[in-house]
Amino acid sequence: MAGATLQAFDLYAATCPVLRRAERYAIFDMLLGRPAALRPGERWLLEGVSLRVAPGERVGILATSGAEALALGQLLAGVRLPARGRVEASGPVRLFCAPGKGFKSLLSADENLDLALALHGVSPKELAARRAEALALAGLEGRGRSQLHDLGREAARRLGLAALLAAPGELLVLCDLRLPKGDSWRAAFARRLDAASAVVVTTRPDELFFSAQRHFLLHCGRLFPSPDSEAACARWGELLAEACGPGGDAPLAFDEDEDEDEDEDRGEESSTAGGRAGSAGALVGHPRVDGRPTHHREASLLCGDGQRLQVELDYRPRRPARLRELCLRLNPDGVRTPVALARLEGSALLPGGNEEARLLRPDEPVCLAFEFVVPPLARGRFEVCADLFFHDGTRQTLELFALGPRNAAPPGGCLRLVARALSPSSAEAEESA
Amino acid sequence: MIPSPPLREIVHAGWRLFVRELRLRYRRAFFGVLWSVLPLVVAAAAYLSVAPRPESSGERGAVPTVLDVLVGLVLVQAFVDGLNYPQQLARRLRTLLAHSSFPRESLLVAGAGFVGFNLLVRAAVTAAALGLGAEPLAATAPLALGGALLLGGLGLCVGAFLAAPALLLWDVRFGLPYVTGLLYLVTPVFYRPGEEGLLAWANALNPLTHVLEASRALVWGAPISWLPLLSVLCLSFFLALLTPRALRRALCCALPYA
Repeated sequence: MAGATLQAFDLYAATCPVLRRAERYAIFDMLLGRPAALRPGERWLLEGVSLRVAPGERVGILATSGAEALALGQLLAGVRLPARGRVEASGPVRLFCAPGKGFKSLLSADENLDLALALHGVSPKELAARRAEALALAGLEGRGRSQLHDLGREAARRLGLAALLAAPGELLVLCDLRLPKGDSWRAAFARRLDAASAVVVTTRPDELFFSAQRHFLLHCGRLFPSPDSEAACARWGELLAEACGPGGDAPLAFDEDEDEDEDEDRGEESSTAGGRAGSAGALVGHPRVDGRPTHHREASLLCGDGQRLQVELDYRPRRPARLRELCLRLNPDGVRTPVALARLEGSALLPGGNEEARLLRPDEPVCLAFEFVVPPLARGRFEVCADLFFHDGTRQTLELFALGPRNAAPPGGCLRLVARALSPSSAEAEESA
Repeated sequence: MIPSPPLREIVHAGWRLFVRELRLRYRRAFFGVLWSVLPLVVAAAAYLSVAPRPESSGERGAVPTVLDVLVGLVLVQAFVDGLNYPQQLARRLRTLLAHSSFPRESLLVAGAGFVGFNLLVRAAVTAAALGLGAEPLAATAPLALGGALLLGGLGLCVGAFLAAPALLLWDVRFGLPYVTGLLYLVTPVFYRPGEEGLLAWANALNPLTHVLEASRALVWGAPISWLPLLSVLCLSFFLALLTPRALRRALCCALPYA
């Protein structure tokens, strides 16, 4: 039988919401080793997670929080050290997380694929064949020499997924895959999983389409077995709808994207790798562009210079938090400097609010409205991001939507993007309707 | 325990990392990789044209000759490169490190690639300068490259220990140039090793001194002090044994907050 064995015994992972303290703890851990108990300011991100993946077995884990999903993936692959417990595997564990992340837009598709495949264990002899295979899977045959910048961000994600499908490995841990729509991808993905032992940790119920032998629900750091994927999805929906008590973590559909920039010269980025929670919340649900529901990560607006754009978004914090400032910025491509679009702070953030009223609660989403003029854009796509600064010093970045190339304004002038807090099931129902 | 991938896989991943970073560095430069050679050639040419001639060929005077300094610079710079590249690579690849389980040792391989590449360029320029110079070289001169490789390896080991802390503490990044400056002060690149006083102590305790002196001796055909050189070799070997495991562990601690 294909695949290898992976076993996790009573895993505990801790996180510290205050970054400064967390960094200090991490330095101590490097020098002295991590204590098994929680330290002041820490909380458990995962508690007592035990799992066994037999050869050829596929396990699906539906998580209610992106941070927990990533932490579990990292623990199983040995990228992160557990506070307690241990992981044992009969072969190297390949972690695939957020495909396309780490790809460089300045390099060609071939160059990016070469690295991705080499990092996932493809030998030099096989590299050319696997590269061609991956390019074909991504639908980019004959465009291997094109710069990724010209192919677009979606192509980078497809290439990342294609690299996963083309790479070897008998023991896979997959997180946050975000498969493109289409049966061909799902079929290829299912075929790949059939040839290995795999753990798929996801925050999206639609990614549990493959035939997993066992299903689990990961909620509030604990792993709950579930009889099948339908039961797991149903329970996941219930948990998502429930509001958490004060101080607890609200179950969220989607966590924020991390800052993807790796350029060492940009000092302002603050990427998190699944450990920091802080006051961070999320933009829950699906936005609408011109009344049409769409996933907020895929919403793309074609805008011309000087066009006026209105944005409304519902923000729901993960736990009670005081929002200090909210900035909207245009993020070109990680090389050029971001352009500030709009900024709200103080009473402008929550009109008429006193100090007490500025406390945002998980059960009271706040509607934030922006209006700005689209600045002159160079070629390429631009991400519009919202930076939320909290009173406790933490920051969260939300990717809202993408702006298309210049002079491609659609008829009708003013666009309106509204992000409402819909439950995923109702949004999907609307989409299908 | 999760078993590590085989060595050839680590080397291949490291080589690809090196190639990608090198291409990325010069992707927006019209002259490309030529920029890594050009400044060195210009500096060496200027240095050689204005420097005084050696006092007596073959003999080591109180003040090192220009070519002596050039050899010293190549050797110490190999160590400095080794010190810098692991933490630079870790910083640049932190997203990839957090989202993928590729072998962490490949960072060391990629770092070694950069050290080797820079060393090759500098060695070629220095060899040309030595060939043009009037000073006679010993037959053992090419073996001095071994000293540079040893220093590069030692630098990589020390640099690997700094890679994970550099992700969390930017003091490491900002402090390294000052440490490098201090290193040039306590290493006899521009002067002969002191025989008494504080500087003599610093020179004696500095492992770079012994490799540097041995390598220069190989170039000019002078006798080598074997005992300190062997001590440095043992130290490097010991560090090289510890480094991969320490790097893996430290990155595991740092990455969740990097």
